[in-house]
This record gives sequence, structure tokens and C-alpha cells, in this order.
Amino acid sequence: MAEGHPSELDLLALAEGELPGDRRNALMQHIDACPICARAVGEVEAGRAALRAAPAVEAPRQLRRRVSADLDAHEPPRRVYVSPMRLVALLAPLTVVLALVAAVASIDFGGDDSSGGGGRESAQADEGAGGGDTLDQELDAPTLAEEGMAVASVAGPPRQVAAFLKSRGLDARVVGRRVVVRASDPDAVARELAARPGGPIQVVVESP
Amino acid sequence: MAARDPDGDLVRRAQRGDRLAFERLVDRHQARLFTLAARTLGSRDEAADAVQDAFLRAWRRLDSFRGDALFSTWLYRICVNAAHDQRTRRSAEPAELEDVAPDPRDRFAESRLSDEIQTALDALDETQREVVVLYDILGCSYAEIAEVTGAAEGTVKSRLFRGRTELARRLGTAGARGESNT
Repeated sequence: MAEGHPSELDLLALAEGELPGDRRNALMQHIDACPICARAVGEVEAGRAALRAAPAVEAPRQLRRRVSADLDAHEPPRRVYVSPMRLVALLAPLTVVLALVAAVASIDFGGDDSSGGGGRESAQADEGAGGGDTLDQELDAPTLAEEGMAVASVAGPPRQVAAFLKSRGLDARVVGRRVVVRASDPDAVARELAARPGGPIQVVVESP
Repeated sequence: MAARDPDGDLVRRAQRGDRLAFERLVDRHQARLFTLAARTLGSRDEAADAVQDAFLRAWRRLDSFRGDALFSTWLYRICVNAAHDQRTRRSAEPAELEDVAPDPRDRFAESRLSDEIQTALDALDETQREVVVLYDILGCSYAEIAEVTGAAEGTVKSRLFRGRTELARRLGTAGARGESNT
């Protein structure tokens, strides 16, 4: 809206009846004398009327059956409560196993010391809709700490994840098997991805 | 769980693995999710695919729902993302498929919604279309739409203003304030 006219938000609030009386009266005075704003408010109201009169779109009957079939094919979620005592009981044997593994790992076998693959395997096992992402390719990636902050691990393919983030106004690009987002708030990126299926594609926010 | 979430009890049961509780949530929300997907995609078939995908994503990720927002808001967000993925798939269909199999774009054409309001909606920017559908057709609040789309409330209002005015121009129904209501 041009200078001297009310803002879009004011005109919208007027059309929605959200303005207090004195503010409303001031705007109405302007609109009575301003055909541009009168037209804008008329369009906002006409658009609203058309949308609210839009006929319902009925879902096809087979959709409900398709959803049920999907639920049949997938394990239900389980949010399990574990008491502190039970947690200790569960973790005790694991601690012993880890100690043994650490002891074995401390023996020098003379190989190279590439590292960082453990977490990726669990991410691969948790993969949802994404397909075709191989563990071997991921192991070639440098560690995340070198490039920025990992904010999410989602289903691929990476190009689709980057395209989605771009559509949300973020500067995202594919780097190897990761998606790197430049100069963004990590929390905002994580929120955008909150509803996507989990998977092996690491989304990293680049350090400024 | 968000305060007074009407779905709260069912969600908690579903999170413990109660399949029937989730089925009831599907029954409650399917029609609105389908409307959201159909009006943003403009196609019944694609909307059905998106809604099916959205419910499956919700079921598989139910344990990640913490109740910071209403369950319905969380579902809408998943559905908007599923619809976006559906649109991306449509536009990414390779042209060489045309000779060997029915083109999925033909399927889109066959099931597309062709009422006047949909034609006008299709012409809007995607972000504006999402907002006008959520606000004016589904009756969501500005705060809910901000949660669903990840945009600030001011941005949501601006998109609503511009989406409605553009729609009115395309429908040719606009007039000065007062004229449209007479």
C-alpha cells in the first residue's frame, strides 16, 4: 500500500472487524475519501465471501480403507514409560558390554582410524519414506562438527529435502549425502522439518 | 499436550499403541485434511495420495508429537508438507515416461477440480493459497496458520490479504467496500 494509506494489515483487520472503535472510525473516514483503499477492502471482502462459499470437496470412499491398510502394514508407535529402577536394571548389562567393547577397541589392530559411522547406522535403520540412500556413501562424509550444527535427520532423497527447504525460503543445498542450510536459525530449520519422516539425511546449519 | 486439545485423550491412547484411538482421529480429521489437500493441490487423486501419506507419517511419528500445539495443527502441518511433496513429484515427472506409460499428469488432469473458485485458487502463489484455504475454508486462526506454515503471524495476514484480493480480481467479484455486500 502506498505512503499515506493504511497498511494491508490495517485494512485486513478492518474487513475482519478486529479494530477497536476509534481506530475503525479513523480508517473508515480515510476509506470514504480514498477509492484505492475502498477498492482494496472490497476485494478482501469479496475474496473472503467467495472462499467461504466454496463447495465442499468430498473425500473418495476408498481413502479411508487405504489409510487403514497403511496402518495395518506399519507397527504402532510405542511410548513406553520406564521407571528409574528399571532403567538402571536395563542399563547395567549394557554398561558391562560397552566396557568390554572399549577394552577390545583399545587393542591396536594397526588399521586406519576412520570414525563416526555408529550413529549413521541407527539413522539408516530409522529411515522412513526415503529410498536408495546407502550407508557406504554416508561414511565418506566429513564429520558434521567441521561444517556446522546438525539440526535434523530426515528421509531423503537429499535433493528433495533441499528443494523443500528452498520452497520455505531457506538457502539450502545438497553437499554429498547431507543438506546444508546457510545463515539460518537452527531452530527455524528444525521446525520446518518437524513433520517430515525421520531418515538418514543429515540437515546441517552452516556456521556463519 | 496443548491446553484443552479436544484430541488429547485419543492422542495419548494412540501414542501407547492403541490403533483404534488413531482410527478415530483419522475419522475426525480426514474430511478437513482432504479439503485442505484438494484445495491446495487442485486434484482429488493427488489430494487422496497426500492425505494417505499424511496419516501414515502421523502414525509413524506419533511419539514425536509433544502437544506443544493442537494435534489438528500438527496434522495440518504434516498434510501441507505431504501436499508440497506431491506437487514436487508432479512437476518432477520425467517427460520420457509419456511414451511408455500413462502420464501421471493426465491423471492430474482427469481428477482436477474445475469449479470457478478452484481455477482462481490455482492461479495464486502457493503460500497465499495455503493461507486462504486454512483461514477461510478450514477456519484456522492466524496463530494456528503460523504454526502450520512456519511463517510469522504478520506474514500470514499479509498473505491472506493478498491472496483474497488476487482471488477477487480473478473472479471479477471485487467492488469498493459496500458494493460487494449489497
